[in-house]
Amino acid sequence: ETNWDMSVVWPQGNFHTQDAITFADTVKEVTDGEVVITVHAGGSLGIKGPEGMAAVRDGLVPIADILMSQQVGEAPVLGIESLPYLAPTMSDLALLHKYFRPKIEEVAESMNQKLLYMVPWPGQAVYTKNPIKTIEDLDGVKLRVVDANGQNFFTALGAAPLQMPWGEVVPSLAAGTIEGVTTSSSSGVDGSFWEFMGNMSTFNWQASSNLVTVNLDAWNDLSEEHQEAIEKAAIKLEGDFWKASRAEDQKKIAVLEENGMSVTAPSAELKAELIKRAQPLWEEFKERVPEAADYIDAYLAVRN
Amino acid sequence: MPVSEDRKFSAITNPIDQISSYSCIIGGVCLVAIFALIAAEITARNFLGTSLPFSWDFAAYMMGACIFLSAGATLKAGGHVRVTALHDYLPPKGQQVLDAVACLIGLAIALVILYAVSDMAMLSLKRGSTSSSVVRTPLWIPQGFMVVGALVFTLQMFAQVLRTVGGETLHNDADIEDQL
Amino acid sequence: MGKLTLTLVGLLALLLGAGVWVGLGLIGTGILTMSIFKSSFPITKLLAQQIWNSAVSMEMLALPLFILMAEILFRTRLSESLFSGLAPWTRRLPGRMSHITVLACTLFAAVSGSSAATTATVGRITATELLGRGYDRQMVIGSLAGAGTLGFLIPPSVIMIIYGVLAEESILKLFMAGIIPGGCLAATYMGYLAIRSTLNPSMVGEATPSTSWKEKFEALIGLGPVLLLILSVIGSMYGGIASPTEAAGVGVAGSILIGLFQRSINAKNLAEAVYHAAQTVSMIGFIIVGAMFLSVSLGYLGLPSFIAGYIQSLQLSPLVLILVLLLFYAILGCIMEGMSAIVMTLPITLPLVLAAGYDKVWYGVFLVLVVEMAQITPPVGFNLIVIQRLTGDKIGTIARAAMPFFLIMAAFVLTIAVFPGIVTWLPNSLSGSN
Ligand code: NA
Ligand code: NA
Repeated sequence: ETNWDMSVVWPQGNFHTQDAITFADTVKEVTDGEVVITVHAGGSLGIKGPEGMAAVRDGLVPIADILMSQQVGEAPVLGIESLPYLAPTMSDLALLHKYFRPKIEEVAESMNQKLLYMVPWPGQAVYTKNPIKTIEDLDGVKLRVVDANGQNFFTALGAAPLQMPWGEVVPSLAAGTIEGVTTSSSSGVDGSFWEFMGNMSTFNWQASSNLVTVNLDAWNDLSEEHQEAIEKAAIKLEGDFWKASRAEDQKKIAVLEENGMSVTAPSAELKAELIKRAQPLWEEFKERVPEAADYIDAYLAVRN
Repeated sequence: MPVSEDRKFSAITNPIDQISSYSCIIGGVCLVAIFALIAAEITARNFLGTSLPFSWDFAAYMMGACIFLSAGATLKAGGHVRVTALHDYLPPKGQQVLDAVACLIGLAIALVILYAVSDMAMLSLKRGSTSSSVVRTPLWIPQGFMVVGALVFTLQMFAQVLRTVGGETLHNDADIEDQL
Repeated sequence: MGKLTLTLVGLLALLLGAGVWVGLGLIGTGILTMSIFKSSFPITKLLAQQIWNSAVSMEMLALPLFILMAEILFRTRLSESLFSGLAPWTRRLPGRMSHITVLACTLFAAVSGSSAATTATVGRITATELLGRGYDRQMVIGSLAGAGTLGFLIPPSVIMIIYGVLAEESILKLFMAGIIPGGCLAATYMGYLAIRSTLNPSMVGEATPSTSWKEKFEALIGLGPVLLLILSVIGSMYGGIASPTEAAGVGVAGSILIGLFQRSINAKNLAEAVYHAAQTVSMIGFIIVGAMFLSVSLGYLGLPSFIAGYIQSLQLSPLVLILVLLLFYAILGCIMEGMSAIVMTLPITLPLVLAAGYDKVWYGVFLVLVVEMAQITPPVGFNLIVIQRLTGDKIGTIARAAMPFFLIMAAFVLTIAVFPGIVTWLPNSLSGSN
């Protein structure tokens, strides 16, 4: 019997954690109980988000659920899908992955791990006190972002983006120190954002996926039969998980509305303006991370 | 307190004490830098309508640097806390042996810490790892501060070993008597 | 697991008993336990990672700032004027100025999110002054240890934020839920101090000479700087100027201003304050690193979840369950850092408690209380360590002095188990009016 500890930084109730638990159950089933994965939710193994891939590489855990865009410190190319409006819908993202996935697998292998499956988050929405109808409504809004893309994009939109640890966000929202947050519908519900803000605009400006990777030494210790069974299970579950992610978004938006939050989509004009201001950032990224250019171009050629 | 000139091993321990106290001064500067960064962020956000994307990151690096760079001088001053229940029941000779044992164990653990942070910093340098936030800080730089601090701490622990072997008793925070 | 527990306790006793510095002793225990029970594990990699995570942590940044603030304030005449301002008002109160520690902790808890910061700051201002005025040493350090823990219970609170994220509960509701229990606990502490000093009048300092009402009010002016400082920190936090951590920076700036205004701060003693604060930060930092590393090591070895799972298998009745959990966390809290203990066991204990009919918000307050108790149990008790740094007393002495306050907290936990309304009334009535 093989026992793997799996690190997940999300809380028990998060759908990525639930996916991981489903995966663990399935693996146990398809290996006749010989590969047992224990899911440790809430970062209880002491591994923080940006350390996910490094932790699997160093063998701190054999397997982990990893937010890809947080791994750019180890491999800048992994920042592709979080470029603003590069892949705003799930079908766009699936197309992008068609070209980009081999690269992710290559990066993973260079870090002594193997990609098992990847699942996107619902798109990033913008939560604010005042509704956002035109781009001017974003002017000077103190908005909490989490990464360089958010910082650059919202600066380009005229807002005043800022970074601050999650623990500071809720008290700061309550006091008005910050006036908005960009995050997914899931995190909006987790943070009970309706207590502080009345509006959520489904910008869906940024995609991001979680990877589940396994340490290659741990993987190679498995019998070929088990490896095959696990790979097959991962492929099958990945499809289910993508559907679940979409359903998650709808479910969480419903919860937001139930609690009195007004959920709107940006108008066509606003959307056009947003995309216009996003595009220069793609070029900047291609310049800074030249190895990313081919994947972006190949994807855009087909999408357009 | 007799001056350290007439103690055994002072040729070794005096320079180490010097290094420890310089290192702690830099640690103090790091502490002030935390304040400066946070103050700058508050000012920028409230008066300039912009945020400093590096303030939180750098402040956190400065805290790591402060903890490590000040560790040697803290050890020297007796500022690191120990449980002295057994220690206090022993006769002076026994106390000295126990102190020497504690220092040797401490030295061994300090060496493991030094190895662990050096290994982390070297790998970050070799792999070109950066932070994943807006300012892509090469991680070996803040980690390097910790390596220097761990080195000073290890040296100071070695000096403590020499002191106990040389028959001195270890400090138990000298400041405290001044305060009360 | 029995062998693991024995090894763990044995190593801890051996290393800490030999007088190895606490932070290093915890790291050493973690390294040895891991190499015995999980020998193929990359231990030094884990150590480096935990050092990095806990020493370079944005969540912890308020701590060094508040420590710096306390060191600066210590060098001003602030505590002097605080005490002379309050002295005439506490003359006839049983316990006299011993209540100032509890009051100051309660007030400062509304400023800071952590217990260590509360204890360090208030202790720096009040402990020396009280001891100098002839108050009983046990009483002074005990009440500081006990009341310092209010830092987590009275909002803002780092632990409630972490619990809120993990348990998917509204942080605002949790903050609300801490207010009444925080007030009750503070009142109970003061009641205890009053009773103790009535029974044994030699524990409190001499009463200050009687003063006229005019003099009483004039003395109050001395409180101005303290109140201004606290108001500016709270004001910056609730007025939308600074986040809770940033507010600690406002506190540092305020303390420098007070010192300049009083002409009690100069380049020399400011440099001393920084030098001394850096050493305190280093000391606490090493212990946090050690506690985190040991806690995470135990997590890898599965100890906390094993015990929690065992409790689950017992199928206890609600009240007994709470009693057992209280005991479990109290024991765990002796050797583990409180926050990690919660993170590791929550997935098992939360469903248990919810199934027993308790509220999620209620359990958050319960956990805050047990973490607070862990702050004052040796050997890993952050408040004890902070106080040792302040007064130079032995950990054991401080822990004994804190014992009555530990028992008060334990009794309070049982009280809220029987009357959960103490916790849930305020958050429910406020969200009901929404
Ligand atoms: Na607090
Ligand atoms: Na404890």
